[in-house]
Amino acid sequence: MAQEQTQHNLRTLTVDEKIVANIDNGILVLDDSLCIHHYNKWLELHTGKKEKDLLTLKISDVFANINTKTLTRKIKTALRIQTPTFYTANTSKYLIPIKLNQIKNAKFEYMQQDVSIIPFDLEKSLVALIITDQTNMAQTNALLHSHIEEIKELNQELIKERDTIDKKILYIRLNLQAEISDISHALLNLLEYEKEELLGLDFFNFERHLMSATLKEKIKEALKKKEPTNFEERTLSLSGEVLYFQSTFVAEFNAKGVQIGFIIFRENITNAKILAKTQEKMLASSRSAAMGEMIAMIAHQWRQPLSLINTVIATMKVKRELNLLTKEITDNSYEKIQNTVKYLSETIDDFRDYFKPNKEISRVELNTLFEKSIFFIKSEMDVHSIKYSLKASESVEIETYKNELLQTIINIMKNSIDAFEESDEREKKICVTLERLSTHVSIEIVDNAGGIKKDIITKVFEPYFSTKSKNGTGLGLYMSQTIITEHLLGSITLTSENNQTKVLIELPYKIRSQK
Amino acid sequence: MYSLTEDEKDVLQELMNVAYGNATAVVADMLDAFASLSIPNIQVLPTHELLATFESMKAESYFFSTQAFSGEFNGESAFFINDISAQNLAKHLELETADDLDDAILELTNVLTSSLTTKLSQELDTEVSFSLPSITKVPLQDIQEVETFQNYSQVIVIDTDLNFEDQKINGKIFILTKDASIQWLKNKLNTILELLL
Amino acid sequence: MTYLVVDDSKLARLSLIKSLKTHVGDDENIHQASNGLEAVSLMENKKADIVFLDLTMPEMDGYEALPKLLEINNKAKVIVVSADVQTKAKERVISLGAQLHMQKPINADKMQEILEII
Repeated sequence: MAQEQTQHNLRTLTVDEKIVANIDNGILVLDDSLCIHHYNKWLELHTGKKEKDLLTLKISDVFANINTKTLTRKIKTALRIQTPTFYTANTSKYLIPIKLNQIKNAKFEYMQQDVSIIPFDLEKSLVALIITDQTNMAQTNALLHSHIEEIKELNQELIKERDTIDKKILYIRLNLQAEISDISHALLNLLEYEKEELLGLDFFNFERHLMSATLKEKIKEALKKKEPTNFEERTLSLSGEVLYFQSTFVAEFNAKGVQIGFIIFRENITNAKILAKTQEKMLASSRSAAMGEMIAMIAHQWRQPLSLINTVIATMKVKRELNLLTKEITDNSYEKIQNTVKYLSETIDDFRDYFKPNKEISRVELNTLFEKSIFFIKSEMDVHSIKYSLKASESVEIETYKNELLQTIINIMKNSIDAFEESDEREKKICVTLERLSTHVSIEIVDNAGGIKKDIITKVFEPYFSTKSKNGTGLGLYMSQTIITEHLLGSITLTSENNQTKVLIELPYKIRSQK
Repeated sequence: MYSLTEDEKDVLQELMNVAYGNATAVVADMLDAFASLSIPNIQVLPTHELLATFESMKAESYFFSTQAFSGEFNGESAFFINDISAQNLAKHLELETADDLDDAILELTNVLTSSLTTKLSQELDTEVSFSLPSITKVPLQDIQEVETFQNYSQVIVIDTDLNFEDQKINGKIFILTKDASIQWLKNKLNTILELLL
Repeated sequence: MTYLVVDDSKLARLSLIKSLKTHVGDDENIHQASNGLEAVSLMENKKADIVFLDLTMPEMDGYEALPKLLEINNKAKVIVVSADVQTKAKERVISLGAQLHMQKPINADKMQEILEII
């Protein structure tokens, strides 16, 4: 026991003081009225004050920032409970102001400190304050805090983004068993289902309504390959509405690169599909209208030759009654009839050739094309005494779908002829001008049939628009525009001035086959 | 899975009473106020049930501070004080800034933890030392994420109300000790029991 | 002499009685109550001379029980044995008529101190 006591004393006298002098902590001994009883070397070095100048001074007089009340309370409490009390850097920043001149902890002007107030001598009411530099920790905490804030913000954005995607993008997630594991609300709205109704369902089963067995097989095959694949799908909504989707199947992988399923992104192409179908219908109806017009044209073309045959036959009849029918006359008449019939038959062939849609692009000489057009409508123009003229400086050749162009031109000229029906113009004229330009050719068709009123000129290319009281399908100019812009890759504009209507068609010299 | 017998609980409760009486007296001096004491509630809980207990405090926004203590008997104390009580504490101590309030709550935690565990250790014939307390203002719905509790599988929860009626300050303190300490504590409690009976 | 030990903790009572017996012997009349209510009814029957009274108890606490006990037997000496060591708590029990306020737990030394004072 005595030996232990000696050892203990020895240690206090030599080792402890050296440690106190050299330790990397501030050590300050105060009494409960805050007077300084010890001020270690660390504090001397960091504050530039000497212990000998400070002894018996009040610490709060040396450092004005110290809150006397709080420190006194902490010291008294420590003495009272005989265990340490504390200041933490986290909440109290620092007790002893020590300016920092470091670059790495630039956030703080003063050293951040943890302070433990340890009861030291109960009789003399002394406590030891151990001051630890926590600036690094505080800096790390501050950094961490700002990063956490950043992550929180990012997370918020991500949630918002996910929300937007959920509301705007059509997608379905499948697990590896092709069961639906997630589905966006945008798509649910279209399908008119609740999410819970679809989760866990077999994708191919749910989509069975309109998916053919071959398409299913094709998709399953594609899914195996894990490559992005496109399909067109047809699905029924809950209420039975048909929906068309252009779908892209993409394999989905987790962060470690292991496949966890598939995502199907869908584009709703229902409207485009319906439009395409409507256009098909319109095309069909304009074809039958064109057929009617063709028959009318043929009728016009045939009227004269048929009446010629009629006349020849009638003449032969009269000559025979009068016994004047010679062999020569007979032969002559037969030949006339034969020629005329041949002409009739050729007309039919021409019409048939020119009114079936072209599958191939061919070279078209525009002067010849116009001659042909005039051939088909000449008789009608004659009925209305319409003069036709073609101005072309030179031969204009392009590569395009010939019959489509011919039909369009006839269609436009027929519109002009129809317009003349309600015109009292004396000198009825249709003038065509062909011009070679650097990038394209221009075809200008001008009539003087009275022009088009300003309030309706913007509507002429709309489907089912017609100024004609009867026989008009209203598809003529709409179809002409469709053909020119979509098939022949050109443009068509219509202007009206004074008495005149001008249709300007611009076409490229060459187009590529679209089929 | 540990559990405490009725007798063990009774001893612990009595020890805790004494320790808590001491702690309250110190806090009462510190605040110059009088606290009404209540009987401490002692339970051995799996951590998730403790979290559920904390969950039930969600209604009010609490300040929450913790302090670890070490030694043969070791663990952590958690002190909850609600917003209104914290404001009243600030008023009572004439505190000016939020940092001062945080500091005062930490001091309260420290005083409670230190006196409680020191006295408890004296009675249990051992010594403890304390780490710096830390304060967190966590919304209680995030408390599962307070990492400190994840280290406990089972905890002895000793919870007591700190209640200064006149000042309208009340708080709840939990002393949490985990597995190894629970066994140590059981042994100690039984030694005391044997001496008594 | 008749003693009454009032505490909600059975072990606190046992520990106190053990300390008491080291000084007064085993034959003394020692009664136990686990709350204020029990203490009051025991007091009516047994008229204890010396009461060891805890403060924090269910049903009826020490503060409430103390004047009632003295009302029944104004010659009784009440020693408050409590964990509550707040100065105000001590002042209050003395003003209510207690002889002494002692901090728990009561070991043999403390018991001797108590018995010497009274």
